[in-house]
Amino acid sequence: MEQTTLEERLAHAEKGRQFWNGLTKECAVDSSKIVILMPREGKEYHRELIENLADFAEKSKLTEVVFLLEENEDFDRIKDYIQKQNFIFKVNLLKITRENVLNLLALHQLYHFTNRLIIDAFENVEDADAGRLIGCNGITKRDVIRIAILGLTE
Amino acid sequence: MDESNPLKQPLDRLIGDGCLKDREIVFFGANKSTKEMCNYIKSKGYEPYAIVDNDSRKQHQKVAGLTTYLPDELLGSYHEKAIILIASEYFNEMAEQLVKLGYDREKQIVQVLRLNRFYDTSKEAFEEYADKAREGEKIYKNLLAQENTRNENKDIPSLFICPYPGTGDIYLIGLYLETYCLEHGINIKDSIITVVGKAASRVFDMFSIKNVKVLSQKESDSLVLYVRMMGLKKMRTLICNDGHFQYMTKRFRGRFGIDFHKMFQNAVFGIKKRNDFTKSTGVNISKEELKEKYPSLSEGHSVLLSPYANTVTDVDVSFWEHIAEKMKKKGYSVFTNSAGETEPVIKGTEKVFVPFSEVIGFVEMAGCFIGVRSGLCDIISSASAKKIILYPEGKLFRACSTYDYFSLNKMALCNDASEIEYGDGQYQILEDKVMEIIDMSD
Repeated sequence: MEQTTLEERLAHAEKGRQFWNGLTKECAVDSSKIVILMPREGKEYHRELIENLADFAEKSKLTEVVFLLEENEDFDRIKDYIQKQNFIFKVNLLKITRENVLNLLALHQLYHFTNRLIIDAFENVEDADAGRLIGCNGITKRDVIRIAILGLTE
Repeated sequence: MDESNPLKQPLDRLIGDGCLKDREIVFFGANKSTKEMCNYIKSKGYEPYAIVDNDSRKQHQKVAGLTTYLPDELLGSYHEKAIILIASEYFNEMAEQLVKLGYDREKQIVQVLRLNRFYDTSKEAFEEYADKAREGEKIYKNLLAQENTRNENKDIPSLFICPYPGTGDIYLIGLYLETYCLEHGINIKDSIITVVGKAASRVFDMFSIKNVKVLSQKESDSLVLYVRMMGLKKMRTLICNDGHFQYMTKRFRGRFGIDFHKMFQNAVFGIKKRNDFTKSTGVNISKEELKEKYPSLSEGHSVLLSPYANTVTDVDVSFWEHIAEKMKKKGYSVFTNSAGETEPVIKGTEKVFVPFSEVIGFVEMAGCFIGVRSGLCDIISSASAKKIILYPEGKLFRACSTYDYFSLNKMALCNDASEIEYGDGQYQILEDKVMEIIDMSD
């Protein structure tokens, strides 16, 4: 098994911090914008999240969403799907490396460093997995996306 | 102080309410938040008195012009005028320490903000959490060393961290831990279980789970941080909570009929089959032993009153006094379960503090339990006795009522509890309902 030390993990998180600070500066992220990270860990949720994003944007009065799409075989498919939506807010699609994804996830595991980032996954993101509630009392994937990830509780 | 600083509003409220006037303002914790609070209060014309901090390395250092002392050093001799302001995630531990020094929790200790340095991407905030993770690593290694279970040929042991010490939470964990271990091929005896505080470890005693390590909240939080950083799967770790400093999963609390039990069963343990009607927890004391220990416990004609709970608001003391009086008239011996001074004994009743390991036996022998919904109710849910459980009406727990989230019957911890919701101030109605249940079963 690959042996990683805590200091190595913290170094990843520090890179994640620097990446995030650079990104928020470059994209001028403020309360009218949100960044959505779509890592491969949440592959099964991405479509549903995109389809429910308009409601979230309306509720949060967003003018722009910055998508961080992982550079992998799904990139073009997800990008096309986002571009097909008629979002009324501005969409900024950014391709990021797996390394940067992992660095951001490492930072997220260390602490809640921002309220401007939504991570579309549970694995490696949350201790308890809301995805396990799917099927329980009729809860669907859509419910999990809307309630757990987007916080759309109305 | 910036308008968006979360400390500003609570400080403005304290100032506006006159709480700081003519007081010796002391801050607990020599850190950035204290510096911000101190400067803000000074800007409003107040002269704060000092800072206390448990870290001896900070002793007599100046922060925002104030000297830092060890808590005992400054507050060991009682300062009548002191008001201690705390903005820390460890408020409870700090408050407890101050109470032990003689300070009044209600009047002299103020939680300005339960502070986590969330939403801060400065290097300073990052390093604060990194240091906690490093502390967590030390704690983890210490646990391994104590267990002496790791060697060249063996995998690291499974680790179950229970980061929240609520009795009901630990009870549900106890209910599912064995099943989880069976499903995942884990030998529970070879694993390490951590809890916060000794009371939590005593709940595990009921499930005959013995290898439990007791940590402080701070230690447990650091441990959580460390294992999260290292990866839960890799560390063979399960954090037994639906959202300790995390928020996504617990948004389901009370939605779609997700109650306390279902949340632990599904989201925490990922177990599909519900363990209905607790298999726990044997009665660890014989009738003879109970009779010896509690001489006035009359079999079938006693009632244990449990008026106190952390999550649920208390019912007025007059209600309990009336119930006690009526039960005594009916020939019952009446006991108040009281953990100490903060839980006054109901007038005319006998004080007991029944250990978890004995409480099922006690209630079964007594024949009757009446209590507000607390963790103790989870424990006694399996007792064969009359169980009357009280829930505040209209009080929400996240998205549903306290009753809907915590009902023992709905949670399938039992099917024979009499559960009543009570309205604010409607204690006569509540009293009538309770006595009606008693009368019907007598």
